[in-house]
Amino acid sequence: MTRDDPSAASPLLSVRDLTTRFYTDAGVVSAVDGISYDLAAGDTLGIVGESGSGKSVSVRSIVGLIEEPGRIDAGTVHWKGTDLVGASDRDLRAIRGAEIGMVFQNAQAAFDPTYTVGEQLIEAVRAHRDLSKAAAREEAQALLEEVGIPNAAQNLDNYPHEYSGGMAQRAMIAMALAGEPELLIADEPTTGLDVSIQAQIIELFRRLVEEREMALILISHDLGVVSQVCERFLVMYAGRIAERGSREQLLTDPKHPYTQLFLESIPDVDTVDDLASIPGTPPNLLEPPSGCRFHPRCPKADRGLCDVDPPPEIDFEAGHAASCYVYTDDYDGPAEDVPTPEADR
Amino acid sequence: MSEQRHRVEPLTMGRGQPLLAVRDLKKYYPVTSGILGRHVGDVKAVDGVSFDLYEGETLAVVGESGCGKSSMAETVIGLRDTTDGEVYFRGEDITDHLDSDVRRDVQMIFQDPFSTLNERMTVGRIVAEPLVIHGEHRTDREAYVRELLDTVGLDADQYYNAFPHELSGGQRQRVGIARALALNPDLLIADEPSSALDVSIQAQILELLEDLQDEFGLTYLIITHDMSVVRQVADRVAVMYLGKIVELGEVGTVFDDPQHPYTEALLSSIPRVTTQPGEDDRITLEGSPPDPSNPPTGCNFHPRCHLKAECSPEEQDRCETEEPPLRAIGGDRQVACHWRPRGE
Repeated sequence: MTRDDPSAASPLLSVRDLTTRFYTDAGVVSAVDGISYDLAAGDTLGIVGESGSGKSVSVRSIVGLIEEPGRIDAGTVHWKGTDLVGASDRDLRAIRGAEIGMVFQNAQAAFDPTYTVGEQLIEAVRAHRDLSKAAAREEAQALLEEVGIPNAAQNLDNYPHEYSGGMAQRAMIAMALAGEPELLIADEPTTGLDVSIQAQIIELFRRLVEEREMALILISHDLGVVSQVCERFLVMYAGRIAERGSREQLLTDPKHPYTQLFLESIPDVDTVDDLASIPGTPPNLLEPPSGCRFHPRCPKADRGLCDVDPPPEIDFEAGHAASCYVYTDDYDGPAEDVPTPEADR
Repeated sequence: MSEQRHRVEPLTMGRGQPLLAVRDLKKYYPVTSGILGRHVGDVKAVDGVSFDLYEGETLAVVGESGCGKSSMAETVIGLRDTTDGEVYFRGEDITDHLDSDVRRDVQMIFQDPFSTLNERMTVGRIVAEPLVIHGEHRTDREAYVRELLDTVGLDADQYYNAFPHELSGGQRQRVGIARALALNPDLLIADEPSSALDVSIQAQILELLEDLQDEFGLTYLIITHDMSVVRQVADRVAVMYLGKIVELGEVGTVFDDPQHPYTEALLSSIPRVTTQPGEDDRITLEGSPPDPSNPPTGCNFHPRCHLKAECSPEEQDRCETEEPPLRAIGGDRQVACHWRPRGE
């Protein structure tokens, strides 16, 4: 199996065979099923996938944010050499917000409405650094300025509800930066924002990654957003990594049939194109399909092969790999009854 | 109440009678203050919108949150009272009094199929509900509903007796569309019909809407924030900013050669799927849309406008004091900017 960029000497983050399941009343949900990847200092990794692909659960597993009835059942997550799976809550809390900063979709909800943004930001700064209140306030103001909030001094004393959606998102990014993280994890950070505000936040991520030389994991259903910021991609489908590679490799030469169809289904604002739709619906992860989890929707599925065992990961160029039987000698072409986009409409 | 039909003067010469005509529509929400509820101002959600919608076409109304596009649609369909202005359907004034016949002809599809479907009803009952409401007693109701399910791409045998929670998002949207089709309408108003869906499923729903238009000759008014969706499905587009239409025209020409600086910036802001980020010359819209209860003077857009920097102080003064009217600039194209079209 490839481990992404082979030149990365000792990775900052190294995830191996990570498996997270949810033990619900209805049964066991196989949300993340044996994913592995590495991240070097300063890397920008985009995790792309549709709802239920496991992209959020996979990063929440890294930082120990999986709650009951969820459980990490297998695998390791090495952060600078230490395995975070099974680490104590105290150790995880110390890493979260300090070495690893996190930003989520709904910024307003991430703040306590009863305290000013400044109070919360000052607390975050002091949690990680031994500063006087006055020095922490200065630092908090500098953080708000860094993320592009105008009149930072006054805005420190405003409550979260007084912030617009875009401002709140910037403020949450400032919170995540308070511990001077080496890795920033952003989960759908621009979803729900207007396109003009979204463009501003994308610009901000680009600047922060460059200026702070920190690594970034950006999770989004929107490939446009990810491609604007990240150099390496993971494409997830139904809890597994379908394909990995550089931005260039995945966008110009996608190998996995899911990646290919996913790219073709994205509407282009610059031309009218024939949108491909992926037949069927994403699988129910209470009872995931056997073999390759994409096989029931795949136009290239070879019955008797793709529906038996999980596919091997096939390497292409450096860092580019796809988990698909199409590139193996056993593959005999699609079965007669494979779904086509036309048949399903 | 005058119900007589008369000719509505179309906005564009030579295009004939529109199916839906909206004239200077206004929807204000009063802002009150204190325990006495004193009226201290208005949020001008829709502030003088006019457009025509022709039979068989798809008009998209696009804009960011708070631009008034949803309020406009809800006022047109009679879910909200108008503050001022008129709405005509087939030449009949239906402003604030949609009668039962028109109500059948105009149906609505919502963004979130999850919240609009009654969780305790089966799919079959949900789709049949409009027939019940309108007192249409057909003996073949079940067969008709099954046919509708088939039309929207749902296997009737599998889903007729299913409950909404058993369906995926895309399947629920299909049920919403089947229900909207039950009364055989002429006009479908769709408010963000694909925004809650994953992109691969979104493509399925957009395709379905196009197929249905071809099959039944439907007319669509689509409300969306998603410019990519507009490009794929609409014939014409109206761009709204702060309660007003700032640009209107055929989709291809508006998108390829936007005239209003807001349209230009909006199109430029969309994050394209790219292998070379940061190399495009983007126009970044600074700041957030202003508060609609206290809109800027003159042109609504002037505080965020990138054209303003190129204007002389006298020209800037005009932007700040004089509201630019939406005016025809050839063909079906309209724009509300003092300085556009270019080179005028």
